Amino acid sequence: MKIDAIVKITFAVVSYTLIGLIVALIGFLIVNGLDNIDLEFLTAFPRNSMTGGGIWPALVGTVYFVAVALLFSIPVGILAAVYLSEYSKDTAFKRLILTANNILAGIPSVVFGLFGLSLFSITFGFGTSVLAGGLTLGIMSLPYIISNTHESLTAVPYSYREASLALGANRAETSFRIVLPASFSRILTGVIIAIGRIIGETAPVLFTGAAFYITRNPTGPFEPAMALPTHIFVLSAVYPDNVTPKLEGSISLLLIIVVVLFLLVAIRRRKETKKLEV
Amino acid sequence: MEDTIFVIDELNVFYGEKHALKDVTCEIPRRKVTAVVGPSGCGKSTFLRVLNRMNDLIPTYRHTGSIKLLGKETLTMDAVSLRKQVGMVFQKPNPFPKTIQDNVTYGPRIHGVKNRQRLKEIAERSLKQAALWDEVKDELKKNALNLSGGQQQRLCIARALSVEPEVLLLDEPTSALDPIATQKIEKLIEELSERYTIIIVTHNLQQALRISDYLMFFYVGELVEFDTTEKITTNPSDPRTSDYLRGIFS
Ligand SMILES: Nc1ncnc2c1ncn2[C@@H]1O[C@H](COP(=O)(O)OP(=O)(O)OP(=O)(O)O)[C@@H](O)[C@H]1O
Ligand SMILES: [Mg+2]
Repeated sequence: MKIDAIVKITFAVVSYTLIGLIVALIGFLIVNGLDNIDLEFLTAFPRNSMTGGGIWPALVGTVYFVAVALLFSIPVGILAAVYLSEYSKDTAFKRLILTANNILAGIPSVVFGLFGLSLFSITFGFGTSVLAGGLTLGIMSLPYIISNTHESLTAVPYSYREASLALGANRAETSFRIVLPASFSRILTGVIIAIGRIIGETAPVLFTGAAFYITRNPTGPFEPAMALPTHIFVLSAVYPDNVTPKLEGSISLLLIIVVVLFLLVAIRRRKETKKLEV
Repeated sequence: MEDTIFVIDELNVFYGEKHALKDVTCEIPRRKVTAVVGPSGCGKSTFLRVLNRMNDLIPTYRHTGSIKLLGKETLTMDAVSLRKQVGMVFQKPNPFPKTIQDNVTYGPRIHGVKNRQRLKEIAERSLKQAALWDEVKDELKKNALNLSGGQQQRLCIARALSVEPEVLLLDEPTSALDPIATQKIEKLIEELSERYTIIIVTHNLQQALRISDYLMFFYVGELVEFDTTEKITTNPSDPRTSDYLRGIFS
């Protein structure tokens, strides 16, 4: 009883200290850069070797990269997950595939970056472009989308499938009109998490799609773009002088976006558990 | 021929090594209520699920013999078109997590009905047949999961009726419901038997006696007795049946 209390207090202190540190760090970075975020910062192109102006092209580029990545990873990921959960038999091979997929989800993003460089930029000849960068990010997020969607689908009660089949529906109708819609909310939560990760990743786009500095936004998929995380990397690594305000502003903005996305996820998760309790 | 819906001949069912139904041979009358009774694990659900081939999905499942639906062999026909003719309602109410309307139009839509007016009519007809219309007619767009258990089960019946099946299979449809909801469903079954063949598995012998015209008694995979409910209850021909009726095993 006494030991239990001591252990409990120790764990509580340790974990709340850690959480507190992280929150303080993120909070500091956000607040610290907040002053530098104004309308010009958000809407202007960089000027004077990036010491002035804003980060508009990095925002636009990030949206492009995320869009290409999702255009690839959502359909491919969902189809793969539907195949795994609704069509394939439960064999050792299937479990192997799922395990491999989970391992892929844990591979460092720089590896995906090099893979994308080799496959999309060089072999496919996409060069440094929105397409190559977006596809690389798409490949990176694919394992996560597959495993989250697969989990969401297997959480759908078997009785829904039975009811659908008993009405004379075939497997495709059952999968796409009953099972997928029933798990839509969970799948969407997974997609938001994937977006959060895509937005924050530097390495994959650095090799495949990111321009250091551009003076006009890309007009097609084969042109390079700037991205928020690579912009931060460039500012901190390549231009050590006089960019501090820009750097702090960019970091703050990126963190705000990611924190908002994860709050969104937390709220959705909460609603989901509430729904289950009813 | 017109009065017989299923002609079953030497039906044997296996789950792997397990012999779940043994040489079942019988003819099930059309547009009557046939109740399937017997001790737990005797093969009632198995028998029901062979009739619309729901067991095909179980990897270890195997069958031999013949089941003819209005003269057509079902064990070899396309399972999808068989299930359109042989609807099923399950033990636990399982409406789709969609609107009430979508629940009763899903079946028709997958079978090709697109006209919205037509779908509306089908929804109304099925809900009326399932004695649910008056309760839900103003909230067809509400999520079906908000209905009470008894209403959900009637919705499941409406959903099964929406594709105009010939036969309705019910596997212990009231075992998860309270007495009042049960009563409503029993009444509904009686009404439905004018247009549909109803085969119902039940653990509740009183219920079987109340609603059925015919009684099938299974015992460890064997069809021991099959006759009118009246004949079986007044004069069972097998000692195991009379033991069961007296409540010796259940
Ligand atoms: N998927 C399966 N795999 C292996 N054996 C099974 C399977 N389903 C049923 N069985 C076996 O087949 C026999 C008949 O089962 P069934 O579910 O048809 O019985 P039941 O009469 O419906 O029982 P209850 O009244 O408990 O619902 C049982 O011995 C059961 O263990
Ligand atoms: Mg059963």
